[in-house]
Amino acid sequence: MAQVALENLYKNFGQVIAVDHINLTVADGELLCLLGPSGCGKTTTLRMVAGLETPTSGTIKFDETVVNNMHPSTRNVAMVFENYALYPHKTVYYNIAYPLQVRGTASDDIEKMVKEVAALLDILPLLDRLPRQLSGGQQQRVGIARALVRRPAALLLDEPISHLDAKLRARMRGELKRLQKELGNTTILVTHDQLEAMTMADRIAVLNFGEILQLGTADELFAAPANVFVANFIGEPSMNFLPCQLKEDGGAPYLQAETFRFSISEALKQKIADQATSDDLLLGCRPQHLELRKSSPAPERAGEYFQTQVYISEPIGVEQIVHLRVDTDIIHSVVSSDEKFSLDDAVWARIDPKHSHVFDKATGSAIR
Amino acid sequence: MMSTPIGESRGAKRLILRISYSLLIAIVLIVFLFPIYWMVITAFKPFEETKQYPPTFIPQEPTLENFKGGWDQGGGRGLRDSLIVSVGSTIISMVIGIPAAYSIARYQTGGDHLSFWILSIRMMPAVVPVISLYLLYQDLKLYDSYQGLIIIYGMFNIPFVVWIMKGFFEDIPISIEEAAWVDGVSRPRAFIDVVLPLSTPGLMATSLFCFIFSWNEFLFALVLTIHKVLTFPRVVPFLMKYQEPEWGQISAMGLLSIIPIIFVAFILQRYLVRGLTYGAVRG
Repeated sequence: MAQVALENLYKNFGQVIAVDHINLTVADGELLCLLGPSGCGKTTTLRMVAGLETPTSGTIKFDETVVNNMHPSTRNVAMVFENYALYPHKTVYYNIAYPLQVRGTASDDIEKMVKEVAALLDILPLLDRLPRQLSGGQQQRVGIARALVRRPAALLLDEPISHLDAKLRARMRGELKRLQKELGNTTILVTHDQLEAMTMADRIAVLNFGEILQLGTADELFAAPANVFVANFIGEPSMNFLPCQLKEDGGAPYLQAETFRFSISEALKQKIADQATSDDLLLGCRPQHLELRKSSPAPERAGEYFQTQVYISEPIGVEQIVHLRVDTDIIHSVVSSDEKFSLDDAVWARIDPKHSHVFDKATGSAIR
Repeated sequence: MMSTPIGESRGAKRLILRISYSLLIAIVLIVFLFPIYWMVITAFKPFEETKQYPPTFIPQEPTLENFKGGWDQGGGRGLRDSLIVSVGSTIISMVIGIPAAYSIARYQTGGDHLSFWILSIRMMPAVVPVISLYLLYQDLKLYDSYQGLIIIYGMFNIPFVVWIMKGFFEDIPISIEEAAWVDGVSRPRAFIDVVLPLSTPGLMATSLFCFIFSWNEFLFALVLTIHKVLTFPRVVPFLMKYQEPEWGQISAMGLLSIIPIIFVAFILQRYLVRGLTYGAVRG
């Protein structure tokens, strides 16, 4: 178990910049997630930590040791590959035992350790089978067992559950998190699934185009996204963005959207004045924080609501996702399933000011 | 068979088709297997019976004298030299060809040019370089030596090894090798532990092919050896005496020459099983 530090890590493939000067430290025993869409550089970064790719520049350190020039076999990392990469010609037992065998561990010890980790992952009855005789979920667990059977400096997971069916994925999220907590391995998890990141990681680094756009806990990323990309990527359904501009009406500042006004505080107005690069702003609000009511609001509260029209509603059990038409956009709201909404119903919506966000439209940065 | 006229003709047509297929297969089998059958029975016929007309289809007085005679007159020596040369050249082809194939498969070494150049060696008929090789071998003192034949056969087979094994190596996902490196082994060790076992069908096929090529090769052997090294194809002509060929002995030796090949092929065919990698790597 070690601390993994990436300093100014840069990697290009010809003209393509895959990893653009990333700085990141994964604490000993932490589970850090590299989250982002396809092609954002997360897998390349992980492979550089493993030693399967060479950085163009920058440093990778395990504790105080620079590992840039070390072959993967000498770095003491363990990796779970996206497509498991099990040894097809050998049994499950041999697959798990291999990392121990090549280190010259005594065969009695090997047997003990293999059985221990196999029990942990519930694959004891499969030890004599070949990989091609296993289901996807079983193969994935063998891949994890192979990685966990020794004490690596860092455990690297490359989209380990993305090829499993939804139910199994949900189960494995919990299992993997539990295992990591129990064994205390420094872990780096790569995924494009924000739900995986949110539920499993201690901290999340959101990447796009090779850069870290925000690094923080799930709560921080959810409640205080640093820019539009992070705000949009985290959370399902995505945050609503309404174009608006800062205006003032007799000392009371507000944001003017196409069809409604959103009152803001003096403090926020000051921040916008300081930080915004132009007049164009985006008002962000997560669907969970967009209130709906069918009947018109009381007069003294009328200013807080604006009119929308129901486009469609998606029931998801206890809640429903209501798609609403406002101006030319569609926004989403997540509310309880108790009230029913029909197509084209007129509905009043209210943005909860405590959970609203303002972004500079040109740069995408949040204004806080 | 149906009782209606249409049904009858359909059933009859199918029967005729089946009979013609069987007939065709029988003819092909007879054409290909007859020479072998003839060689086998001739090997066991005493000299006089081989000249009999009309010929006998089963040896009347089977004997082993042809085997002993042919062996003593050079057959045994021919088989031994062929064995030395074939095994030696197969080893050279594999030892050079396999790493070359891996290099090209994983790193595209030399790009298209190198790959095509290697292939072009095989496109060249043996008769093209054979005269220059004769002169070269005289200068290098490789004429009429085991090394001489082993080298040239080995070189000639490398392209085949490279092309077949390159395909097999490319079929093995590199992530399996990467998994081995991460697990703690060096590149060479990963190659031995993971890549080679998974390409066993290719290894068996190519070594068999190299062996057969060297075993049967005549032209280079004819030009590049004279009496110290005589491979089997070189020895057989000696059994064609001036007055009348010793057909019995030739057949006996021919039979003996097939046996190693059949033996090797039989052993290796068990390893020619595809599909080892399926199912281990998903996605």
